[in-house]
Amino acid sequence: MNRSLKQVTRSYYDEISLSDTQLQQLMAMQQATEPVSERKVSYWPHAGWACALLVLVLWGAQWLLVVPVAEGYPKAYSIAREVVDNHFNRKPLETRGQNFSQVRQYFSQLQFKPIFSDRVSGGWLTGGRYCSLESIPAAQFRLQDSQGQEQTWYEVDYNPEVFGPLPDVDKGAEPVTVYARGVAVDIWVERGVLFAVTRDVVTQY
Amino acid sequence: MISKEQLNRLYRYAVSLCRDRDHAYDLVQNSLARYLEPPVRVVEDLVPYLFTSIRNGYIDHYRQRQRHTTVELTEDYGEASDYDIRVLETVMVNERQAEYLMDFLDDQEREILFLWGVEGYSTQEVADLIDMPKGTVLSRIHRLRQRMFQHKARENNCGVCL
Repeated sequence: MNRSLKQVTRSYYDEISLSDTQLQQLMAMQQATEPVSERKVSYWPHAGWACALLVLVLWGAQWLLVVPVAEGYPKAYSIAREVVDNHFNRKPLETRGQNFSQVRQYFSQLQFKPIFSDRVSGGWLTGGRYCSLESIPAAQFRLQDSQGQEQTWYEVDYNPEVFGPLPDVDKGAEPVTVYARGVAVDIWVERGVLFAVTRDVVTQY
Repeated sequence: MISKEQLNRLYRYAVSLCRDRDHAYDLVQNSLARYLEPPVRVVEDLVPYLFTSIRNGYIDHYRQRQRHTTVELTEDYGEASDYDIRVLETVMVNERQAEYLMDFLDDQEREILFLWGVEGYSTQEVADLIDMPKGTVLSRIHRLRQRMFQHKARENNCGVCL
């Protein structure tokens, strides 16, 4: 039966849709991230000058103040992407064990000593391997969460010049959650160590 | 928050670009991840914004791998200048040939067809979204119609009537 090209095209694409799992995952990605600022530059002709002035003021302020210029965490996303890329391309564990104290003994070549955090809970440690974040040697631990999913947990010596500002839980900040390739990554600094832990977003909501 | 309906619109657009549903999902997921990268911006009309993001992601990932076919259409530019996307309104297709038709079209033809047929875009809106001069879009529409006609003439069972 002949129909108009438009009708046929519509019918064809109407039958294409995301699966429930895919929809759930994409919806979950949005849960923790709400828009923070509305940018309607075109309605304010002097916005460009104002932004330039603001940047100049902030740039100057960083030399006068100890506090970081940015409220956000500009490197958090690239950290999350690297963690998630490695999470999806998991390489074999170099050491196995369920006891953190024993597993961390393996990481004798690092410039820091891996520490345990109460924030990494609800799972079972399976082992670890050497890895890197932003080219800095890191410890990568694997754990099985309560849903039976394998999660990746990074620890690396925190260097603000490399990783930018990140929430320090010792100063009362809460970990930041960043989504990359559909996976949530919790990032924080604790006792001078940068933590990055993946979370399966579908199981969280 | 992007609704499920909007997510499906994004997914269909991605399918119109790459034809592969797994790759289409990756494109949607990556564009969403880029959009959600803090600080998240409020965009007046999110779907076209994400269409562009998906398109950029598609070009980045697929053109480099020679999977994005581009066709030079300068030869029929002048002839096409009188065309409008509405000329496609007159094209009749056998509904059973939809899958075959999508295989027959190249990536950009499918994209234009999707934006016009499913999203209801005008020629200018298509040109704006795909960042292409309106005349070039018209050339593609002209070529799309011609190709369908020629195919109909060559293989009588294609199911295209003009």
